[in-house]
Amino acid sequence: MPGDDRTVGFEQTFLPHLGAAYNLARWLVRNDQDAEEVVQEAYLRAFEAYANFRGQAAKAWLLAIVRNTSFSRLRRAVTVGEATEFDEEIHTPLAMASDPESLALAEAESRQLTAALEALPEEYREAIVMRELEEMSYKEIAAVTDVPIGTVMSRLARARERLREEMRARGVKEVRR
Amino acid sequence: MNCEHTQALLGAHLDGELDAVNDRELQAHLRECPRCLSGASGQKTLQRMVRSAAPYHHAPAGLASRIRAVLRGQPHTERPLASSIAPALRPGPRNLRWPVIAATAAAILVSLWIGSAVTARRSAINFLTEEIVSAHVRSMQGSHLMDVASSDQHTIKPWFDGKLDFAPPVHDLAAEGFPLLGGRLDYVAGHPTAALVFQRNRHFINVFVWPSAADITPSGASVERRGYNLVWWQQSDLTFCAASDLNRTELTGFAASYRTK
Repeated sequence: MPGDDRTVGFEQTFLPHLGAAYNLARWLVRNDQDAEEVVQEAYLRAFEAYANFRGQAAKAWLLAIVRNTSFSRLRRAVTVGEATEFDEEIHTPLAMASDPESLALAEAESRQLTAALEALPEEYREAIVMRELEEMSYKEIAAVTDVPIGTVMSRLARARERLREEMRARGVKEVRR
Repeated sequence: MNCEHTQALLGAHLDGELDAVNDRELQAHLRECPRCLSGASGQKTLQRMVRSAAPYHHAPAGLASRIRAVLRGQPHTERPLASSIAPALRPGPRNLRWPVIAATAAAILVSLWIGSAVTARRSAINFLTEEIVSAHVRSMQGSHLMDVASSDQHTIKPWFDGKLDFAPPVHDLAAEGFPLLGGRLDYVAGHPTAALVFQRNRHFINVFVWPSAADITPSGASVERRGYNLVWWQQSDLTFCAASDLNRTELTGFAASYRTK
């Protein structure tokens, strides 16, 4: 199935951002299956809206759709408990730690951090994911979340403050104020 | 620059997003304020920690090719199933997201079709069964069991007018012990569907109704999935599926009563 030029053009523009799309969706909906469905749905929505795409920042344009699709999904999902299960298996290996003891420590840290991040309100969580994991600029984050850059800045500041509180509540000591 | 202002701008400074003037003032403040400096180092630690220890969720293998397949199964390619959901593309304000989901699901069904007809049919039915159970469970879990609450079939039937491209027959079965509670719009496997809600003692029954599509109508009368019973039937050109945690005998009885109304 080669697809027509439009389809191929769409794929060439947006499939390179699949990793970022999935990462954001997965952090927002907090489980694998929903994330996958959200991403598929988002690509379809993006394809339908492709006529309106004017070659602006493709990643931000796509992530805005992923974000909206994630929120629709979250609003539809009524059981909170179902979505908050923590899945150890999918954690990426921690390359920095080599000996078993520090590896275990690093894993514990990663688990606590994940739990702390997942406990944040969505608008804080997405800000941190886009900034720290996707290394996006404030301008790009502003484009995705459709708020002014100043709002991104204050939101990130509050997000980090909340994250620090969540970490403290989980007994992580290294994080000083 | 005072401490409060510094704290507010610290993140932007560490992110390299602060304008030159503020950045210079902030750095000057950090040189003379140990408290803010310590705050800055704490924030840097946190940032490093998030970057090194927060998992990056990688897209599962095969997702890209699934998306490619879905994109090639778009409604505009005029495949039969896809065209049957075309009415969903004229959404009312309430169900704007449905066309998308409908198109996705239809596209998935279409892509299933491309394989062997038998396998495709089986997977489609499986998919449909799963979808119905999920829709039923969803309606039980949330506060969204009904869009329109009424035991009067003459209230519910017109309510669907203009929301669907078909008119589901609505009967109250209170006399048979299954009072009608209401109805709602739902979405099942690529179809906007009417869902009618009935009660039997402490059990709820959802009856999903949508226009039949020859390929994906289960031939078996009933099936159990995840502890729920489903009973299917056809009437004129509509497909019905009753879903409930009610036992199979009672649910079959309910279906029979509904059918013969």
